[in-house]
Amino acid sequence: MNLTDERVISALFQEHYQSLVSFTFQYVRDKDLSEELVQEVFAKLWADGYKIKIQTSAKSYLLGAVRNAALNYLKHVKVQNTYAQHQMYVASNDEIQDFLEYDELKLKLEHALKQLPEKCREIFELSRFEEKRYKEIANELGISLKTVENQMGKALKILRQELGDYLPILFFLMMR
Amino acid sequence: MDQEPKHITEEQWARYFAGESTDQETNQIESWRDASSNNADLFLEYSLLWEDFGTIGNKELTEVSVDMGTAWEKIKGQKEMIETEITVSFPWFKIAASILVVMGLFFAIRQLNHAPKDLFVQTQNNTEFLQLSDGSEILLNRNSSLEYPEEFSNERKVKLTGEGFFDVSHDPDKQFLITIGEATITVLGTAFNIKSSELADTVSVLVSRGKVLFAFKDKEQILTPGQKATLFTSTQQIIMQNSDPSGLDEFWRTHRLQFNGQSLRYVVKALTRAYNKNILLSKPELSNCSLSAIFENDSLSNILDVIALTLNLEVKREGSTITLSGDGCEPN
Repeated sequence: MNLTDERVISALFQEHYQSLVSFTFQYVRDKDLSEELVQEVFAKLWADGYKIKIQTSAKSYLLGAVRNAALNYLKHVKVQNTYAQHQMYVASNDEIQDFLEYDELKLKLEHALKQLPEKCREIFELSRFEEKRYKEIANELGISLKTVENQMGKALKILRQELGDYLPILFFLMMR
Repeated sequence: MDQEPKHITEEQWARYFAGESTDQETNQIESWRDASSNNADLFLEYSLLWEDFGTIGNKELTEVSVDMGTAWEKIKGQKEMIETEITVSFPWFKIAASILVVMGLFFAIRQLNHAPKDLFVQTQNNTEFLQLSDGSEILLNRNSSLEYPEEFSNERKVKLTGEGFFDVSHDPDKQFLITIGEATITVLGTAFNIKSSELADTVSVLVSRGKVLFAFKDKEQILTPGQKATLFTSTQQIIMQNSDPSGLDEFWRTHRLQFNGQSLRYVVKALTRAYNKNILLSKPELSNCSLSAIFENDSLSNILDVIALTLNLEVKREGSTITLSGDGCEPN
């Protein structure tokens, strides 16, 4: 795939733009910003296409790239703007430039999820995937609210441990 | 006022992101997040974890309406902008060609009206020290360029890409003007560091001495010593920041880092950025360890050995990744 070819980029744009913006919106919760971030990813891909190597699929690359752009944005503007008086490691070049393509990320997330005890996983999925309230989950499973809280905390703890490898990489990975 | 909790439990995190927190708890978590940049970072880590998992379920994403035509035009425009920037700052052959053109043009003009010659210096893998006709001194970082007249006439004006440290000679009658992208930095006589990043679309100025006026379009910010400001070109905001206490911002020219009881997490981040190597902590408890030390002109492996010895850690190298492991420290 020749990424410097306008027709290739245009086709990728037609096919994925809308869903990439929706995807980015999950992370930054701002429509205009989501569009800007996705546009920037396309522009960079087009301009720098000759040095980019896609590992899995174009879609997986694009999802990974926009998620990364969203993360860089959150790191820089949101977090640092709000906490401006505590700037410690602000810099203009600590952008993460090397990122996981989405398929790879998804595998890691799914693998981490499999490490949860069954009940714990069920509760986490009801909350996160089906966006059920704690109360609904408790009723549905016939358990106490306290148990739901417990299990959710436990789920986060285990997931974070399981992904311990990938989370720091997100923050530490830099220039190639 | 809400009390700032020392520590947020996993259950509290889960409740917060699942939207089950009480207002009071939400406030507590947010004020905890705002209390330090380490906290803010941890917050970001949890939000990322939460949002990432949100993408793997089968739930429909919120449909955001877009205007494909406008979006495509913007992409085209941005792509061209990136390419012009790259032509100036990267491939050496294009630069060589453009210098020839520029020089050729200037020789032609010089023949006509004897204007002073413009010089263009581009660094690749080296830093370069420059002295300008007014006595100002500039240290140009790697992959940066400076365009300046051989002889200043009635104004002092230069153009920078990348990063440089400027020590500008004092001349109250002639201000010194640096343009970098669309931003300008105006000074009378002072020392400061400027850095731009194409990828991040930012320009940062850090002042060592004197006073600097940092301007972009209709926005202006006066900076005094120790202050740092970053312009985010995409959002057109200039944000004031304190410079990094470890001296990281100027590490490229001072080769010096100092830590004053900061967390190991912070130290590792600073080293990661300074040496451009991927350094990880084997477990979160290690971030509780703190370090006080000064490193000057030291190699990364020396520094890591010192840290390992001080905190009783083990340094492991695998490929390009370095991992620090050990027992960790009690939270303080």
